[in-house]
Amino acid sequence: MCQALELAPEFMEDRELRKLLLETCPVRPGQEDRAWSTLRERLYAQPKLSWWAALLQPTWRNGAFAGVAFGLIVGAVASFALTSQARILATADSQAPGIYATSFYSKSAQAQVVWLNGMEPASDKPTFLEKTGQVTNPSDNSATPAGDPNSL
Amino acid sequence: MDAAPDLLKRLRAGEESAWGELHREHYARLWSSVQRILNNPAAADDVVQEAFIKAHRDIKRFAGQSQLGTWLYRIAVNQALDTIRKKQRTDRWLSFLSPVAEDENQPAMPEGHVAPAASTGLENAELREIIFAAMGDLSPEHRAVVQLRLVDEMSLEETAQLLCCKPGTVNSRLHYACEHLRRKLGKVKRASESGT
Repeated sequence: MCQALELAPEFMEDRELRKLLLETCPVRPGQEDRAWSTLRERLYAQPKLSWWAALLQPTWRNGAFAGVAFGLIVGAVASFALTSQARILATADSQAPGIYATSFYSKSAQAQVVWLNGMEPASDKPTFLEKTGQVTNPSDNSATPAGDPNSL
Repeated sequence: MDAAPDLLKRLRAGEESAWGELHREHYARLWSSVQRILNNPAAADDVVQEAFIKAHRDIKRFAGQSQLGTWLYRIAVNQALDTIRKKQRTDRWLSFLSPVAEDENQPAMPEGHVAPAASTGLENAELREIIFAAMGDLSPEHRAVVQLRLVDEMSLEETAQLLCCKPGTVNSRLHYACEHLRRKLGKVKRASESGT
């Protein structure tokens, strides 16, 4: 003890204090080897992840990727829903002026038929009404089939 | 040896033997420095390991302007300081939740204990214990200043930059810490003189 205390006078200079501090906190025998084997295991013994398993790792990049993908999906669903709703809103309404609908079963077509009066002539293209319910007059009369213009 | 182009090339290539070499060369110094700051051997183990992993990840970004050892040392010290900051944040939350308020002026207690090793140049293990306990009485900020400024002899500006504080704060912390250590060691001397 006395030998060590000679190193620690009451008014110790900074360099003596430094020397003492440098001699504290020594690495224990075998500690470095243990630390290296743990580190090596973490650095080199990790199994290679497949690309999809790597995507599941909690990293900033994967988080950003997931966020962007989620945003795109939400956007696509919202866009689809709004578009479909707009079309649904433009369906024929029995209360709309000038439009009359009759429903019956057609034996020849073997299907339930909805007969709409007051709409554009039938064509092989889908027909949508304006949201106001107003029916636009057909401009091209050459496309009118023979017989009943509203025939299916 | 440090930042030798050949070693650097091998490190960048991820060669296991090169990383083993780097670990052998710098581990002891890094661990001692981090341990002096944290005063917690288990945390020091983790911090040094994380520092090597970070270095392994970022070695391609190492420009070679400083020595490899210095670069590694900075990573380890930054990791240690981050650990302290995280712990302080957690402690603040815990003290906020706890009904009993802690006295902020009370010096931090040592977080861990290291059994003194017999293989160092310092012959007396008891003195090492005293120094260790005296360091443990200091707050992590004071210990960090002692380590960076006194032990590693970093410049005042560098220390202030690393610790995110003003140079004046570094000086006052260093003064307080050195006085504390001298007082503790002086007490031991007086006790020994009155005993003999």
